[in-house]
Amino acid sequence: MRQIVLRRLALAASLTALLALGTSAVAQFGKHSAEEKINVSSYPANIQSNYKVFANKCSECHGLASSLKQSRSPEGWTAEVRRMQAMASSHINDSEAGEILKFLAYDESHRKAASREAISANTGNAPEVAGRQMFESYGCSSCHSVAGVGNTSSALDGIGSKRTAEELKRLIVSPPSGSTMPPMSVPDKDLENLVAYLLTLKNR
Amino acid sequence: MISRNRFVFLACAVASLLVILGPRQASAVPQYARRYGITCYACHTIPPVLNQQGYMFQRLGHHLPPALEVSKPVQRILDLVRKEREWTVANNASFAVADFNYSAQRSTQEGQGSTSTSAIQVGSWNAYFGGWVPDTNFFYFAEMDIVAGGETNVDLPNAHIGYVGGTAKSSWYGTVGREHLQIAQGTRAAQVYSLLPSAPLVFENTGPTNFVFDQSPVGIAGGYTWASSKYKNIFGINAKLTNGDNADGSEILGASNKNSKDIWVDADWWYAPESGISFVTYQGKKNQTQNSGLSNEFTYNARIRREGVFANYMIGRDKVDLLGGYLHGNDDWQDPATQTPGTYQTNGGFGEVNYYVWRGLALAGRYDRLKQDLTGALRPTTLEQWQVGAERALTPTGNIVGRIAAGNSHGVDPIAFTGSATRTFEADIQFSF
Ligand code: HEC
Ligand code: HEC
Repeated sequence: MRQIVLRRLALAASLTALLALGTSAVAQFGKHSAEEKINVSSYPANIQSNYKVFANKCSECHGLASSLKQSRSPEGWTAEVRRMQAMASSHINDSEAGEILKFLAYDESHRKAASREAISANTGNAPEVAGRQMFESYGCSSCHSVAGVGNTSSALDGIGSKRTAEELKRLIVSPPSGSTMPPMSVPDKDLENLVAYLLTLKNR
Repeated sequence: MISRNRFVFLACAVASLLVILGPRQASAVPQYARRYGITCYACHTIPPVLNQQGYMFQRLGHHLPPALEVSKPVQRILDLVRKEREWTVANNASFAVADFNYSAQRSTQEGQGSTSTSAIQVGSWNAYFGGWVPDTNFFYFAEMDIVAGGETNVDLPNAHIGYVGGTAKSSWYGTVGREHLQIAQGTRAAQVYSLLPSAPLVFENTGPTNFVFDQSPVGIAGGYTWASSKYKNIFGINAKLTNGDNADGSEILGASNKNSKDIWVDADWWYAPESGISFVTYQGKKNQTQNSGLSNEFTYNARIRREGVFANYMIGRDKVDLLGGYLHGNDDWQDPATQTPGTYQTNGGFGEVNYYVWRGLALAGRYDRLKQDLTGALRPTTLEQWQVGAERALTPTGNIVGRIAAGNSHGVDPIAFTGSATRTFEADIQFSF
């Protein structure tokens, strides 16, 4: 008797827990997948086929969002893809890596570049506002947080009191060797905006 | 009114359709995946089967194995600790790793006819607490089973704390506490978790001395792991000194009528991404009680010895996995009637094929055979079992998995010499949140 009651209770409790968790999980995922898809129908046919390899191989262990958001210099992407090939259980061979790099380079110089130009155009003469949007657009927040938002393992709060504009520029485009921060490809104009934003992050 | 058989058939058909055609939406990630924002496939071929990355994750004290690039500096464990995300409860606990299942079984016992049973139930519900102590090389892992085999029965098969040192390439660890022998110890074929609902017979078969290979004894363990660049080769060795089982087969947690210590050693070699070979041995002793409660009850100090080799090989661009294992058992055994000392010898093996159709869908089939031979018995007896099934992830991250399987087992009891056969059909959905 007690057994049966306990079993019913366990069933009811687990159903409730799963429903609650499930709903929030669905909501969370809905957001996730929207960020991940890009429309490549306007890309050249060969790049579209490269995109397929990228979308298949690079989604095995994590979503595509960080690669579609973050920017790297060509060497930066080469290093990143080589790093992914050297992960345990990675199944990316060198020819697939080559195709993936072609897609990433094309996407960098077209879609990503265009989205940042749009930010500049829309924010006109407010560099720190443009910089704040670019911080998101360049995917800086997948590794850094500001005011607790983003990846809190490396918070940039107070960076504006710690570093000068020149230092910040150098840190972003050519991080010191041995640093885990990847080399980014950030045009000068965007860099000015990013730095203007970072300089507003003063110690309080 | 539909007949019972029709109902069973319909239920199976609906469950199968759900699994094969089920929605691909809806997802969340349980704690480890949640911690790094990665999918279940980073560490599992399909949950719960671990891949090389999952194995390394466990060996590195619950830290994500970093890339091992040629001529790049190798990270120390402490570097991995410093890179960890913020310590939060959500990053350390999973409360609902549960399985809802439908199972139908038809058993035939020699001289007794057949019986059929079926059930729709919460098959299992486990909670996990596992992670790292912030800024240190210490890690911990606890598994609480709330429902197991459809029964509410709170148990703690894993509860240990450990320390990991060295680098991502060459690391060692030590743990103390209660630890499952076969979880993440060993390459693919040597792990109790498989694509099919039940583990190979050699892990789960309970011999006349009540010993089963799939146990969670209390003790201390230590291991060493070495990985080459790009994880092309991984060598792992692991040893445990444990309290083993009580005379009645239960695991020893406190005072015990058993005074010996058991030792368990395994050596693993992973090559290419997902192929590997493991050698396993267990040497133990226990006070075995026979004829318990009767006037001729007696106890003897049985020695238990198991030696096995398990291997898998991936072919066809990591689509087909061929797995096999062999385990030899040689336990002391005394006939309850005559009390003459003798042995219980087993030779068990299995062959399995897994076909990964695409990410998140796999087909599996396994054949098991276990030969048992007791001193004084008329002849050796055999148990045979086959199972086929399909496993499919229902979410893109792989945290909800549906499974259907059919199986058949038949054989003769090594003591009573009665034959029996069981046919099973199972459909289940596993959730990991
Ligand atoms: C075998 C699993 C695996 C595969 C396949 C994989 N990655 Fe990763 N990736 C990881 C893990 C784990 C991390 C997080 C830990 C780290 O950065 O070291 C990561 C991190 C990243 C990051 C950094 C994200 C951040 O926010 O820190 C980028 C960018 C990335 N991957 C891109 C790719 C690309 C592009 C591909 C396809 C070529 C790919 N990944 C394939 C496992 C994988
Ligand atoms: C893939 C992860 C990653 C991304 C993406 C990333 N960073 Fe970093 N960054 C780091 C890490 C890790 C450090 C910490 C120090 C180191 O290892 O050199 C760092 C350091 C910094 C520093 C220096 C902090 C200090 O205290 O000196 C600044 C400034 C910075 N990053 C800005 C940015 C900006 C702006 C972006 C986006 C354009 C960005 N980062 C994108 C990982 C990243």
